[in-house]
Amino acid sequence: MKKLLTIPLLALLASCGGKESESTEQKNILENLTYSVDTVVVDAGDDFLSLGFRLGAFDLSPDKKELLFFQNKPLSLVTVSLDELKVLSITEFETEGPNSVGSFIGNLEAGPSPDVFIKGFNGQGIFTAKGEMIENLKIFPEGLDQKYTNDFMKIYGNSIYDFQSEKFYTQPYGEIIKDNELWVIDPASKTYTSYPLPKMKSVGDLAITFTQKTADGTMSSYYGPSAYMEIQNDQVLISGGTMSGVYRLSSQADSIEFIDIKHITVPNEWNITVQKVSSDEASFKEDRRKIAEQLNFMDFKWDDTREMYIRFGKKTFLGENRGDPSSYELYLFAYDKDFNVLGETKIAGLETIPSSYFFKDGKLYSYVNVEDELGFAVFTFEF
Amino acid sequence: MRKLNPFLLFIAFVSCNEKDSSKNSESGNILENLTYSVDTIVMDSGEELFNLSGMIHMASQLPNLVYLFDEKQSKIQKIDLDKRALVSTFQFEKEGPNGTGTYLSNFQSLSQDRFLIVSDEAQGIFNAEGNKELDLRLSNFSDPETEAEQGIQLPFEMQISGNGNFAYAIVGDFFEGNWNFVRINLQSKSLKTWDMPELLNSKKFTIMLKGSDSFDLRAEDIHLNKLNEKIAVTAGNTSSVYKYDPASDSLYSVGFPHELTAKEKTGTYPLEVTSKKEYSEIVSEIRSEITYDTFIWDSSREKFFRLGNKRIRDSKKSEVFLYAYDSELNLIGEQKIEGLERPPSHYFFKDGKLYSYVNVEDELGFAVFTFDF
Repeated sequence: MKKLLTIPLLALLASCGGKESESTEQKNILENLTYSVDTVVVDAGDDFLSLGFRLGAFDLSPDKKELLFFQNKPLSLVTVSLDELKVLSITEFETEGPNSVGSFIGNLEAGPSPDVFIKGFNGQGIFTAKGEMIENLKIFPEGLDQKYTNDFMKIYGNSIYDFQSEKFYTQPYGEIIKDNELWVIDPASKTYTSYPLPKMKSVGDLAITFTQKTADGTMSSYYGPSAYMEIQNDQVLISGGTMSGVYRLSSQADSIEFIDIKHITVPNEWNITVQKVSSDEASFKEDRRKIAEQLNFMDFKWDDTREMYIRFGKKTFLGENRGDPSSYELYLFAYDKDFNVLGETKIAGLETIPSSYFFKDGKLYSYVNVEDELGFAVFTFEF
Repeated sequence: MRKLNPFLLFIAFVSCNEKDSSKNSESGNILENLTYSVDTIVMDSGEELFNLSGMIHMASQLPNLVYLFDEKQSKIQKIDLDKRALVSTFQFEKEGPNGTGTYLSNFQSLSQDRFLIVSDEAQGIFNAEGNKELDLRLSNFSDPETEAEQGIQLPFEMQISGNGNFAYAIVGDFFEGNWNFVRINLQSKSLKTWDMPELLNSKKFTIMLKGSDSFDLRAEDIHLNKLNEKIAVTAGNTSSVYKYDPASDSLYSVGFPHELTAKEKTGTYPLEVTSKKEYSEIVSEIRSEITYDTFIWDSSREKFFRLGNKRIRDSKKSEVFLYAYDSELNLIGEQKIEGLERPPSHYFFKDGKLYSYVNVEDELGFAVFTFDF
């Protein structure tokens, strides 16, 4: 990573009040949003961290004091103290054999210290902080057609594990399901319950793939809106880049509801069509531009100091030619615990998208690579 | 594929004598004095259309037939190369008990217009009426030695043996780089699996770029090659192959003493990069190393051939190489095909000539290479 992200390295204070809004009925708490940014760098001591464009699989410890993430080559779990801003430990994990899930970590969840849940391309389990697998969770529910039971990624590719309920929440894909569904898998009883997620269809319908097979190898490109599933404020939330609404599963996992969120200043859904699979590069690029320029809703983050959900939205304007930088418009939304809109605004003056980000003590931490040191742009929002 | 390869628009005749090569004095390089000419022929689609807009899936059935699989419409078009015309069309269903699936992995033409069709959703033998005659999902078969239900994934490619008694599959994935060879005895419904550890090397030439909304991947192609009654598994990054011999029911690795081009790719590349620019730079680095394509049988010469190519840096042009092997797969010749700047794709031998697919203004065409050596 040679290029530094353009998030300003020094603290800046920008005001972005949208005074033109005359919301009489609905108060927009973000109307007079201001923010400041500070950048902090983590002391790696004598160790060297191999850092990329994003942080990869990461999570915060339940007390939010520590950040855990995996780095490749060699595959190792890095634990960082966010209060002391220093690396606490780097532990190498095996990439083959019984104590491994392969050489890629697709998902990391920090459980009751010091255990972690990790998922690879062909396996998942709970590991000690020393890298020893203590529970293999590559478990398929019973009663599933036998032809699917060996298809790990189709069942667990889009899944999260909840240490509290000891269940998986997953959105299988492929021919296993007819339409979008949420499965709640209980690995202990090997049972699952499924819930339909019809609104999530728009995410898959607006994703595009371009594949080219040539005499010197296969090239494949995928582009599309993101789908999100995470546990925030003890609830499973499922949403997508294409729509403002959100699915909420109660923590008892016995019912799911779709909450139709209505924003006033931005569209609540997309209105474009794309060609899903193409082998024509020009049409792929054209569709990619269309998708990027939509308001892509990002994921919900629960800010426990304010007791509200915060969500970003982004529009990306891809550069004219290959290599030209993209430009962005970033939006911020706030909701109460029942997803009533508290505020919505375009964030003026901020031209980068938060990356590998989380809330801690009411501040937004967004990963930055500061000359190959682990850093965070820390945003303090005032409203 | 709208653009026509410019070299195919005219008949080329190029001589490529390289008399300085003396290394092969003992063994002899049968391709040492290779010359060739190219002609282009176009097939008549009659009332129908050939859909050449997506990925091309083609299977040849000698002496005179090729089949074109139209993924979008789930149909197979049968083309007679001697008549240069479409002769019939077979319609299939995408879904249901006779469904062939959405995205094809590969297909093979069998006798009497029957087809092995392999997709993510279905693997089976289908007849000309579109009915599935035989379900070849790997879960239908078990290994009598281990009896274990192995974690077998979807086949990446499959082939049926000439006598119809065996099916072969490769399973694995680009991410982990583990590949297995599977032999299925269709009579006893048993299967056997072999590891192919040398194919782990192919992963060194896989490169990924993960963005927040995007994912790009470049990988070496892995293919099942039918060598008459034997089978070879090839990987683009190496000339070495895994060869399966049904007589001994064994799989073993075979290397070749290639001298004209490197025996394999050797560079060291990152698995994952962080910017578009880096991604395309590394892809062109990888492409500038040798890539070996699949084997084809020339029944008139009773020899195997395969092609290789190297992309010329900062250019869209490639160097293309022809390699010859005897019927036991011993290397007997290698030569650069001078003047050929794009590696042929979807190729096969017919009457001693190499036919390679070309799109001629959205009509199905073939560049027909006549090699003299």
